[in-house]
Amino acid sequence: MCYEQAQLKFVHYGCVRTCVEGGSFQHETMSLRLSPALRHLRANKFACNNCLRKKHTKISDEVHGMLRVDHAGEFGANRIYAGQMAVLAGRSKSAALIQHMWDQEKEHKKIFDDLMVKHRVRPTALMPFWHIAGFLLGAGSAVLGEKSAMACTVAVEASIVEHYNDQLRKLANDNPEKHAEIMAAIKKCRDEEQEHHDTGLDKGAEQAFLYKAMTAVIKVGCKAAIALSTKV
Amino acid sequence: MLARYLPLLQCYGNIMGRTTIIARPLLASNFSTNRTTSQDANASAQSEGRREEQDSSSKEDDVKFKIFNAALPLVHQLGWTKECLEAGAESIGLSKSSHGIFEHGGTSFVHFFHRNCNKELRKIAKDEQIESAKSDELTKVHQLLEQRLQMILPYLPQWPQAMALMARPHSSLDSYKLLYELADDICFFAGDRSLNATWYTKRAAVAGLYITGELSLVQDKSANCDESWRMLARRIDDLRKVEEFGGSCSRQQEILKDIAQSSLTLIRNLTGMQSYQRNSR
Repeated sequence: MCYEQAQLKFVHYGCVRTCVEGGSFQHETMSLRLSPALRHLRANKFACNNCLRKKHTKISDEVHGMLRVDHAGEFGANRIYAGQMAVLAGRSKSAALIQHMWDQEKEHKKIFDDLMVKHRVRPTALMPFWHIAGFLLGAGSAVLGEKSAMACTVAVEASIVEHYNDQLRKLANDNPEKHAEIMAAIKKCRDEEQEHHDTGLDKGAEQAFLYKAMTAVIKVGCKAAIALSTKV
Repeated sequence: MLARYLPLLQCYGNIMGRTTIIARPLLASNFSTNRTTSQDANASAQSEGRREEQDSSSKEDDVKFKIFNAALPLVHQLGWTKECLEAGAESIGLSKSSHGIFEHGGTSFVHFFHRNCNKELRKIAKDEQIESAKSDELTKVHQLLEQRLQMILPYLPQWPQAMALMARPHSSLDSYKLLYELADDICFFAGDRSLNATWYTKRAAVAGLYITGELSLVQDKSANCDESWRMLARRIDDLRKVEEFGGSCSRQQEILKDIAQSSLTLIRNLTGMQSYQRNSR
């Protein structure tokens, strides 16, 4: 029976008799109780705003969360490089390289800005926090020295690449055609972040003081930040 | 100065407020004519937001919309209740108990009304191309807020009942969601494209303005509710002043940054660190 017929039967028969496909009339509440078959329809069609949204949304809540955390991540990366430049500008050989990496991060952020506006995704509420924390991380690692700054870059980029790969896997498993644009954006950013990671290693990150400890701590921090920004 | 903002702050704490029902003269104009739900999406829609796609879906609200439209004129006599929905259903030839489409009776009725108004507002914003107009953001916010508040004018006598229904605990979650969507839509169509903390402050401000406007309208005794529109204009002006103040603060931030940097350089010079670093490079 098609959906419209089900609707009409439901409203027409409901009060007088129990329609097999329709439902039963509840005398106590003077209302209609749908039979299981129609209840499925009701959940998708008659229901409140919430259910309608979940069924018909252009991109799901999960992808909204992905865009939100990616946007926050690029913003954080921008602030980390800003912190590093604030300390190392004009005082280090790698200043030009860090500036170049920073410029690439600015492009990434622009890409995600456009995606966020296009899909009207809410940005993370922790933006002011990442604004400060990112700068402090960058500046703090740079104060410890140029190699420490590179180590910080390596740790952050490694987390980000792993995170982007997870997202790409999820999107590809779900529906590659539907998410093509988002996947392309994430791929581009992931490739460039991988480059930054390799550059950092080339510039002697592993010779930084307490490299292993520092990278471990930064990776844990990044994981926590990613988990938070997806939801908040 | 804080006293001027107290009413606004009080409204945040008293979301859909409770007021006593005051007898008011009936307002003549009826709500929208019977539109079909198959509104095709605006071809030039720039955003692919979820709510825009919802507006263009046609089938699901058909019967519900018909009952809703039929019941609206009867709100003046029967209030936002199940009885009103029953009467509306009867008037278009459906059985009385088809009010069951609205699961929670009066509350669902008001909820659907709000959703419909928000849909109408999005349509108005797109048709009048408010986004691309030359005026500044706050003027557009003002315009959209007035449009949205005018949609409840025909039902003002029974509006306190509607507000009370939405303020109940089990429907308060829905009310928050509707208010959030309304604030988001108004800010978006007024041209806000920010993606940081101001996203939140703007939407909070707009939500607060809407609630203030609603509360003011419900107890307004002036002709044509002029007092409320004037109050709204004053609140928008206040927001404008706050914005200017914020702008001047960020300009001063730049100056503070320069001062911090130059004092650091001074300290390095005084302690000889500057020349030490230069020599050791």
